[in-house]
Amino acid sequence: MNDLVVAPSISREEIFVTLKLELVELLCLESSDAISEDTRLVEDLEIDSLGMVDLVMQVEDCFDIVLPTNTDLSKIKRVGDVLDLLDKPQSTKLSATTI
Amino acid sequence: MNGSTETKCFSPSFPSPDTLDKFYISGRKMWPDLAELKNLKFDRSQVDDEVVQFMRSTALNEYGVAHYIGSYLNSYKDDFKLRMWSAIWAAEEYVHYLVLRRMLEGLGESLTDEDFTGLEKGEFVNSYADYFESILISPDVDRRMVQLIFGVIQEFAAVIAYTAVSEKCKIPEMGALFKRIARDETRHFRFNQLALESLCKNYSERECAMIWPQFRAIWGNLQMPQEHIEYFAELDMGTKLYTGFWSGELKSRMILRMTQYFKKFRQPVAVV
Repeated sequence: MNDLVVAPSISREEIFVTLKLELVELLCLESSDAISEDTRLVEDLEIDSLGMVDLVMQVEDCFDIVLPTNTDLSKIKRVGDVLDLLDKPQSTKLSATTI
Repeated sequence: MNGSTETKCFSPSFPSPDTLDKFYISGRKMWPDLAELKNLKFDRSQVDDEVVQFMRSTALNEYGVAHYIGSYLNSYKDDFKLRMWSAIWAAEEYVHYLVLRRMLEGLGESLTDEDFTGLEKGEFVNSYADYFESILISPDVDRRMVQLIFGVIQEFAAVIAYTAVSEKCKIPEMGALFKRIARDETRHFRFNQLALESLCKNYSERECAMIWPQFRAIWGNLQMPQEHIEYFAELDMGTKLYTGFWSGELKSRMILRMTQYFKKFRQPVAVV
């Protein structure tokens, strides 16, 4: 399991392509064409609290990472915010399991 | 782990009472003599009305444990150690009620006889039983497993709720008491995890594979026990009040911790 979210050698564009494929699978979309960095998770993709659980699971599995428990998911409103999260290794080191 | 998918004999959750002993002793250490509850006095003007309302609601919710334990015992049936845990758990939740009640009295906001009557006479069993049946992913799913998954979620929600209100509290002594209750709820959360993992050791792969979808089914239709007692709704003391203090970060922590914990069961071998 990586202690960084995504290997630094992977570009943002590559992460985006993979993320779109994951969203297509997760949300049973026909294609990823309509997904951009501005796509809103709740309003456009209809990701609710259960969907957020699935998204976290899918992202962690796909990129072989663990999101720190101090990540504020409420600030992740668009696909681009997910990319920001995955594209900032210094802010995504594994945290202790503090309550 | 037993890889067989055949029906097998009943397996208890824990092979020995050691885990129960450990948790019982650590619980006693949390509140050795309740001396800290004597002569509590707080400045009411320093405490927001919503915090007081949360305390009233949560004190009654903790007191409602006599309702809730029935559903636990029903789920745990022949599993003596989980039934014993239910008794220990209920007594510890009663301590939380006592702490909250004394804190309320220290604020000059005592619970009334009407509060107790409303809660005690409130219907719970049938409403909760219907809800419990509605969240089962299969008729043959182990009820103990479902109850433990629910317990993990419910107890962690309690951790978050008390942590959130401790952060909101302007009086350090009150904040410290909330934090201590949160620590106690953390123990309960942990026990439910250990019991689930212990059960899993005797599960077939098919049974283990039910844990993740069962978690999703509960999470997607999560109703805290107080949702099933009319008195809480009448006084606007439902889950909304319970979760009202949660910051985005605390809500996120709930989602992340639950997801990261339960997803491990999709690969049972890694868990046990």
